[in-house]
Amino acid sequence: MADTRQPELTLERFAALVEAYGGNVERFPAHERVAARALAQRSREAQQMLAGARALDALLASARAELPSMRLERELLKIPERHKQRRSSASVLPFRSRGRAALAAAAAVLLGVLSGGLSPSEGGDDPTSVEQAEIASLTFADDLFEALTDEGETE
Amino acid sequence: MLADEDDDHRLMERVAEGDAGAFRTLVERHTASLTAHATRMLHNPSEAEDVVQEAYVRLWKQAPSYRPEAKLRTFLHGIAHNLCIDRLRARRPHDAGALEQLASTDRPSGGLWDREISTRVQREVAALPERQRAALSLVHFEELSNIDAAALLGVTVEALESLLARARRTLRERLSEMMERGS
Repeated sequence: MADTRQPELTLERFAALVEAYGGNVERFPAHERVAARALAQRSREAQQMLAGARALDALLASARAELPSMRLERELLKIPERHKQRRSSASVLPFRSRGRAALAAAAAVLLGVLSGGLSPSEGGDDPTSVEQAEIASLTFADDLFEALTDEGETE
Repeated sequence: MLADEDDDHRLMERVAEGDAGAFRTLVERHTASLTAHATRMLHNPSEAEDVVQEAYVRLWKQAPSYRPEAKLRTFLHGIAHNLCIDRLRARRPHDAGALEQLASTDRPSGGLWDREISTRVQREVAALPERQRAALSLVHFEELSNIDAAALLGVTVEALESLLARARRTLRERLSEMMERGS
């Protein structure tokens, strides 16, 4: 039968854990918590170390994090639309039907322009390479999208 | 936590296929934590939000190549953290404006004393050396495991614990008066 007991923690290691992680054993590294709890139960010195760290813990707990703004949340939800990517043939992007129909129509016109078959509409700007890629992804097969985009972009 | 990690991986598979709904779920799940960390690193809420936005753009674009060896939460924090570091490197030294902006940000109500404590603690955390601030933010505030935080920062766990200990020691010294008042 395997020995499942955790090695005992020295007071020196316990002190180092309190210095790093504070006065709550539950914040200690997972593999050392059981031994830390056991030591805290039987050692007055360990208990004093934990108590001494709790004042700073309380102050840190008071530093309330800034909540994300509504503006940020709105912008984040626009990312999929703004940065369309290649889809697998089995999936469908959850576009609204009206928007999708309009985009599909625009794609057809634009691709006609790109192929030289049509003249650009009055006042229209040439699409950027990103826009070309985004529109192409809606209506063309994956291999055509690959040809239009810069695949291999990495972090 | 394990169930959330598995769920994150499943959501990322759907994001890789272009599922905006799955992306939305990840946004709802992780944005508060990312924003909090970026704000602590940059001490500028507006700039922090720009970083978070860029992090999610990269997540969306990189989704097809995402591999679930690491927790998504750690992966996302890593992207945001590196973006923060880039911005910090690009800044002039001793940019006092950012600290002032953080100090003047409206806080949730909780009495004047609570607000003073919160503001003062945030400023002292913001004044920590960058790597100590990062370690404290990731481990203490955002509760990443020591292993994940160490990997994200590119240090050993021992080095991470050293950063945490030094951060806490500095904060104890600078906030000693407040701790005495609190007791």
